[in-house]
Amino acid sequence: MFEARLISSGILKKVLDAIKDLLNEATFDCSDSGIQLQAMDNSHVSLVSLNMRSDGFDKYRCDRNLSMGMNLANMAKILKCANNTDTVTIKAQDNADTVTFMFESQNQEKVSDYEMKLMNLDQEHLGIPETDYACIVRMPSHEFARICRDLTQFGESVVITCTKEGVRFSASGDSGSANIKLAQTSSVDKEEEAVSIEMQEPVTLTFACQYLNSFTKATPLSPQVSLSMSADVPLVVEYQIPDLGHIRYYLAPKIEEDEN
Amino acid sequence: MSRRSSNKKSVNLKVQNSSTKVLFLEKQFLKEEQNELEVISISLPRKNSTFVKSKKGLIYELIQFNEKHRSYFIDKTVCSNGKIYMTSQIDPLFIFIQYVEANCKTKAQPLTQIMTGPAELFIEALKSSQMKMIADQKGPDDLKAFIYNEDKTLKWLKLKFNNVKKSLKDLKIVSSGASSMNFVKSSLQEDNDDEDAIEETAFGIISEYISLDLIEKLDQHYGISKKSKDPITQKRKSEVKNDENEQKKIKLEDQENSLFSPKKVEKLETKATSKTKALEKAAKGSKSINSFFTKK
Repeated sequence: MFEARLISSGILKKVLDAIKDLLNEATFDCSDSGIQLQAMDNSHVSLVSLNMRSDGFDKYRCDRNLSMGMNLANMAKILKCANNTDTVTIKAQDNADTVTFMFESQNQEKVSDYEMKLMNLDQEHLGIPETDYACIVRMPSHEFARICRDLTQFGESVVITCTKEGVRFSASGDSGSANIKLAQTSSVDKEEEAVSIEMQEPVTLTFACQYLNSFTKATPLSPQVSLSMSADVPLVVEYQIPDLGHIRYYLAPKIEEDEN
Repeated sequence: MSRRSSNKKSVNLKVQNSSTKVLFLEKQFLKEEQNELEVISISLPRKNSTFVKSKKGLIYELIQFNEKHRSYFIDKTVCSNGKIYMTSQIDPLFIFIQYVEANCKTKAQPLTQIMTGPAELFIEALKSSQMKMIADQKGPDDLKAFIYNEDKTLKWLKLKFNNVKKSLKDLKIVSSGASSMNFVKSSLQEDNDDEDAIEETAFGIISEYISLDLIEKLDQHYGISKKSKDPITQKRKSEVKNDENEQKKIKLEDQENSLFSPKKVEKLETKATSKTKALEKAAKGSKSINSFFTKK
C-alpha cells in the first residue's frame, strides 16, 4: 500500500508543470524515504531529477518500494481537475496497475477520485557523480527565467561566463546579440533576492537556450535558483521546493564549434 | 460426375487408397531405370521440400499441387488422392546455401562436414565452380572446403532473381490484376504495374528458398521489394476523400485502448508536438547526457 498526502495540490501541480515540458512520461520511484524521479528528455541531452522527501508530505506511507510509470500528460489532465487549495492524496496498492489521485476540498464537502493507468517504462537510472563545481551561482529564480526568455530571442545557445566580477549570459544570432551581466549583490535584505557567486575558477560554457527555458518552468516552485558549473560537465540547475525536496536539471554543454 | 457413373451399374468402381499418387515426370526420367531415382526430403529455411535426384546428377524439386475434392479415375479405379506432383529442375545451390550460410560464415569447412544427413547426397551433384558463386574455396581442390561470401551470394541471388523475372515475363503469367481480355492498356504506367507485379512474384519465388536474413539483405541491397512492401499504396486511391474520417476513427480506437484496457499501458509513440520538436532541434550540437553519467 502506498499513500502520500499533500495539504495543497498546488505544489504537485507546480512540480508537474516543471517536468512535463521535458518529459512525456516518467517513473515515480516511491520508497520509505520519499518519492524520487529521474529521467532524461527524449533527446538525451538533459536529465531531470526530482526528490520529494517523505517528511514533506502531510501523511506518507509506503509499505513496499514501488515504481509507478506515468504518462505526464494524463497526470496533468487529472491535476487540472483539482483546485489549488484541495488536499491531494496519491494512492496505489502494491503491484497495482493503477494509481488513484484523490482531491478533497478544504471543507471536506467535495471529494473526487481519479484513477490513472500506470505504464511499463524501462527507464535506466544514471549514476550522478559527486562533483565539486568550479562555480555556483545563486540568483532569484524569476531573474533567471527572465534572462533565459530574453536571450532566446537572439540565439539558440547561451554562453554563460562566470568570473569573479560576476556572471554574464550572452547570446547572438542573425538579428544581433545580447549580453546580460549580473554582479554579486553587496547588501541584501532578503537572501533569495541576492545574486551570489561561489567561484574556484572562471568558467565559460555554452548551452541550448530552449532547454534552459524548459527548466525555468520550475520557477514557481522556488524563489531562488542555483546554477552549478564546471568546465566540460553538465550544468546543474537546482530549485529547492520549500519543505518538500528539490528538483535538479542537468544539461549537457554544447560542443564548442572550434572542435568541429 | 461420380454420381452419374455410380448410377450406371455396369461400371464397377473401386476406390484406391490414397497411397497411389499421380506424378508428372520429365521424359528423361522415364528413360532411366526407376530405382536410380533418389527421393530426398530436406527442410529449407522456410519450407520442407522433397527433391528428386536423377542419375545424371540433376536435381529436381518435387512440387505438389493440392486441391480439395479432387480425385482421379485410373482405369476402373478411383484414386481419391487428387494431388498432382510435378518435377521442376532446381539449381542445387539453393539447397546448399542454407548449410553454407549456417556453418561457413567464420571458417572454411569441407562440404562433407556441413552437408550432413540426407543432404549429403547432393554433394556430388554440385560442381566446385557452382559453389564459388556463393563462397570462396580454401585449401586444396579435392578437400572442397569453402567459406561463405555474402557479397557473392547476394550477386548470385540477384542474378537468379533476374532470370526468374525474365522467365515470368516470357511466360506472361503474371499481371498486376484481373483485366478483361479485350482491355487495351493505355499508358506506360500499366506496363510498370505489370513489371512491379512480376518483380514481386519473382522475389517471392526466390525468397521461398532462402533465409529471412538473406531476404532482408537482398532487399536492402537491391531494393527489390520496395514497391511491394506496402500493398495498400498499390491500390487505387479512393476518389472520395475520407482521410479525415479515418483519422478520427483511429483516434477513437486509441482512446478506447488507453481507457478500457485492463492491462498496463505500454509506452505509446507520442506524436511530436511543436514543443518537443523545438527541444529536439535545440538538442542538436549538445553532448549526450549519457556521456557524463554512467548507468547504475
